[in-house]
Amino acid sequence: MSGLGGFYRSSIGKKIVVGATGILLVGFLFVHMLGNLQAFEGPGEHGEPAKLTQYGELLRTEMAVLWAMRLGLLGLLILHVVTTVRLVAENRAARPERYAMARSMKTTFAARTMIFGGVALFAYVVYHILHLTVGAAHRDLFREGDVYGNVVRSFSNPVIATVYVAAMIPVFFHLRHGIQSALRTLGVDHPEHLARIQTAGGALAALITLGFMAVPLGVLFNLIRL
Amino acid sequence: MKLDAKIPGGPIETKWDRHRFDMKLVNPANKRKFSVIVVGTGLAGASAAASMAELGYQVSAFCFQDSPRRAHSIAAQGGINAAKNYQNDGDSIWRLFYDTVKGGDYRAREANVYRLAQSSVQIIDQCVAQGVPFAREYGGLLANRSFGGAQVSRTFYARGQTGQQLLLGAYQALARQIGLGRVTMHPRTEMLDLVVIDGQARGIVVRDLVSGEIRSHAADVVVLATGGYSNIFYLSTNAKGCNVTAIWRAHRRGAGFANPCFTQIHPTCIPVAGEHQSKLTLMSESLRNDGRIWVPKKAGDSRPADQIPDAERDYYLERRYPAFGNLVPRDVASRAAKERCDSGFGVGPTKLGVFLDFRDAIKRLSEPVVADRYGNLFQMYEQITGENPYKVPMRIFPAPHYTMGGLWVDYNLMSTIPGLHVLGEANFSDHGANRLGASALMQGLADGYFVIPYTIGHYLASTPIPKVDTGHAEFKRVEAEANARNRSLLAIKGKRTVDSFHRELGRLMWDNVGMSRNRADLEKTLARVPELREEFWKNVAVEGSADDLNQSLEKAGRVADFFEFGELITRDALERAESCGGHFREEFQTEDGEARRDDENFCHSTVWEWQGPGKAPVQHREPLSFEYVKPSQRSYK
Amino acid sequence: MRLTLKVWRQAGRSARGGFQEVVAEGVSPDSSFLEMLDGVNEKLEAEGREPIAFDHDCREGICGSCSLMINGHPHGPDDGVTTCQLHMRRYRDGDTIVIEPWRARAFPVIKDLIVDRSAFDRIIQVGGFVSVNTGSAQDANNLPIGKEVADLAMDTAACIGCGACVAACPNASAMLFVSAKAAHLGRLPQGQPERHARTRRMVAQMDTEGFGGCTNHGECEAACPKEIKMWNISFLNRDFLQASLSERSASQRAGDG
Repeated sequence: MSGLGGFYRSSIGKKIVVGATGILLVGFLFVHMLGNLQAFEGPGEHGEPAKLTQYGELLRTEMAVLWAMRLGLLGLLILHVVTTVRLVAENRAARPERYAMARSMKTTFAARTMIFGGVALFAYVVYHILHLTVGAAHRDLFREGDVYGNVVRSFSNPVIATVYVAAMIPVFFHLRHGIQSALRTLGVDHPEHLARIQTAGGALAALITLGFMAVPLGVLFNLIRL
Repeated sequence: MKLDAKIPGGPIETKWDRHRFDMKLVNPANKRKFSVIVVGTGLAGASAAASMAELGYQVSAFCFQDSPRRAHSIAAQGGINAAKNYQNDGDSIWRLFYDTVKGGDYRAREANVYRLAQSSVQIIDQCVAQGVPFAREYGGLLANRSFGGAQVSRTFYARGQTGQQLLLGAYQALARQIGLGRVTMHPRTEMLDLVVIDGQARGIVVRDLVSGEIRSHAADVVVLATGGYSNIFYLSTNAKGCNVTAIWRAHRRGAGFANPCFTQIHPTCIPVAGEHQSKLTLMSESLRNDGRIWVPKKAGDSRPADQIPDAERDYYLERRYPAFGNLVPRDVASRAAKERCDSGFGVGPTKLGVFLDFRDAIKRLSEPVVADRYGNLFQMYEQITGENPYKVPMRIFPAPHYTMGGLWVDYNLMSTIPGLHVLGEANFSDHGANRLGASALMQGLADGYFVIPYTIGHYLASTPIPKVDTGHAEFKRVEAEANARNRSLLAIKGKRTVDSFHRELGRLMWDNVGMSRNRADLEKTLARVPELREEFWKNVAVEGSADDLNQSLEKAGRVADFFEFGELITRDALERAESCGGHFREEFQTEDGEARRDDENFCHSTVWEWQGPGKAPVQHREPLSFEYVKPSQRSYK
Repeated sequence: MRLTLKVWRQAGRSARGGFQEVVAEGVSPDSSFLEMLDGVNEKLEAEGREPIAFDHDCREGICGSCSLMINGHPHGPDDGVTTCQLHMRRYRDGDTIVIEPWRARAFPVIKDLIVDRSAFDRIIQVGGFVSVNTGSAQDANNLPIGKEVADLAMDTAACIGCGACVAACPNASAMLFVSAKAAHLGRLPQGQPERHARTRRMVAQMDTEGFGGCTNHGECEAACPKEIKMWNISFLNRDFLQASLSERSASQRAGDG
């Protein structure tokens, strides 16, 4: 066993891949969340497009760069998901016969529901892309290029806004366990650092989750309007 | 039976060096043509198997546990002695040699003990190189502590788990050789008999404890490192699986058994709590460094310990032995505790216990320092007794712990059967009538790492060994015997469990052949053991089959051998009409109750030769001569 | 005390197992859990039934032989002890206790409550050692090792190889066991020359044996009778990453040569 293939075939290698891609995806989420918050800048004045829409245009200045980023993200996501699926299969196979009575001592809800959170998150991402990137989910509400308008129109519908807010709950749990778990997998082994990382990981998870929830809630409560 | 100890000539300091030069060597290319069987994977067995495999021999190793890492050496707590003199407190090879001979009450072979003291120095080096995490000072150098029977600090330790760490070092060295394909490991495999062909030990018959299969293994030479026989007392500090079978079976095939009555009763064990008890737990004797042993001055005083003022406490070891105080050797400490309890001063619910008190140590050193030194022992004590030793003094009582007796071996560690070598606690060689604390680990590793790798080569290079395989008729005969024995145990279908017989035998041995012995009791026991054995063979209940994993059958075979062995140990104790070390005959004591040796008549090792079932064994003697350490009345006052 | 035991009975490796209900009567609160089982076995034998097979030896918490999943907890409910150190005063008269073997693909059941843990031995055999032959050591004090490092090494060297970490882990992962050895030798200077090779080989063997991977639940740490900490797993992860990188550069250098 040697080289990259060997690394990836090993259990720890796969864990490191999941952890590293996870951390990069968290980085993307954080930036995405910051970008979203520009919705609070409002619809734009003096005939200018909204800040959020401008930001959308900025991203589209060089389509090649955008597609490179999209493909990169897609690659990360696929690697993250496919590797996780393989790990989960291996972990399940490692205990073919279950205990009649098993009690957990230390594990958390977040840790035990990682895979469910991941699946929910994946479903949400597909819907989110179809909704606000492709525009296929709710054609009546979508206008190509009007990022701000699409957001406000969609979230004025309480059902859509609720879906978006609710989707952030699994995101929170997934990140709360995921961020610190990834860092441990990547080798943070000092007990004191570990404790700090667990706290910081939880805080970051909460920050990202609240940041994302802020926009649909803002629309719903009329803080953001057309 | 001829006893030739083969002690090299010349001054004691150079005997081993000269012997190593005089011994024949096996050419490196020829080593792989020789096969070695090692039974037991404790400190002695694992270190021997690994070291011989490193040299190039083909080694097969056997243990009854599920992994070689579980041998009972792992439970040794306190430490390992070595004459490093790192503390600059006057230690030397000579002093370790002197202390060991004196501690053994002048019943050990001087030349062996000197070699042991010499090897001790290398053992520490070897273990550190393997990554054994010994305790260290802040400067990064090795730490030492003092131990019973010595006035220097020469004991190296790894918290309260020294045996574990040394065994894991040897186990890892063994694992490395298994991984390299030079050792074939057979776990969950128990030796049932030795195969002797044309006067040479040529193999063993074993039972695969999972499949039940009886099979043979042949080799050019056999090494037994199967530990001691304290479990004859049923309640002892040994692991439940420890047994006498391997060395007993070898004895029945012609190996002389030396000094079986030299058994060590350890002074600091947790007292028996009730009938359900299956074993006794040792508290490391290092506790005596800081703990003070006492009983109330008033017999039957049942006040809680903290309400008994100092003036009404009898620190009897400090009173009787001012020079060594609580650090007197084990046999002395055990007997002193028994004397106090027999006189009615015992403490605890059964009155069979004395206090080991850390009140003063906690005052002097602070609780965290005491916790750092003994934390895990305190925790263990609390787990078992439900009492917190930081607040309430521990209660301790002596328990069978180690057996100095074993198969007789010469200077090369070879028994009276050519080709059969015996290491560690299984042999009789180095501790005389009493072993000093932290010396068992030293002897096991000295035998395995630094003696047998040399002497085995000499035997192989100087002895014609014809080719033999397991198809030989003798293997088939011994296999058939082993099979028949198991079948007959299963066929008895009696009413009493193996454990109930073992408990009864143990009680009998403990009461009469335990901490103190007398002629009348020994004679009574000598008559009682065969009766009990007969009942065992008529009325034992062993369930299950021989062709399957069957723990009752395993136990039954071991207890059956203890029944035979019980007679020998009693006979030996009866024969030795003196008190020495762990062997205390009530008839032979000084006015103040100390052991009185009889050097005129008993300055020898007694070696027993098997004569067949139901026949009295024949006694041989290896005279001991003390040229360097002159025997004197042992005094720790 | 009177207790109802639900014990896993399985005749052999490939036999189908199931729970058997046995009543333990007259149990002393001062007896250990294994002594309670001894009593049950004596009763079974007296009735002509086969006793329950379970691994045990030293009965003082150090050999690592005893196992048992007791009411869903490896080595029972107490922290930092093995089954043989668990005492019956922990239970109340009338309690029901479910006793199962360790369950993992890499630890197949041999009989009743006995499992085959030889996978742990094979992991050590591929690298869990320092390659030093007998006789080739320098004086022990020529290699000073700071007390802190020695203490950290000792913390992990204390592993008894019982397998409770695997039993407790939702993924039946052996990472705590492997990391304990990797950290014991990897933290000491003696272990440095082979550090990367050791880590790579032990991890590869661990995977071959069919243990699962770590998902940082922390169950192993909670179950460990020697209280070995999970940060050692992070140590192993980092070591493995470094080992994999160094292996690549080593093979590239070899290629250049």
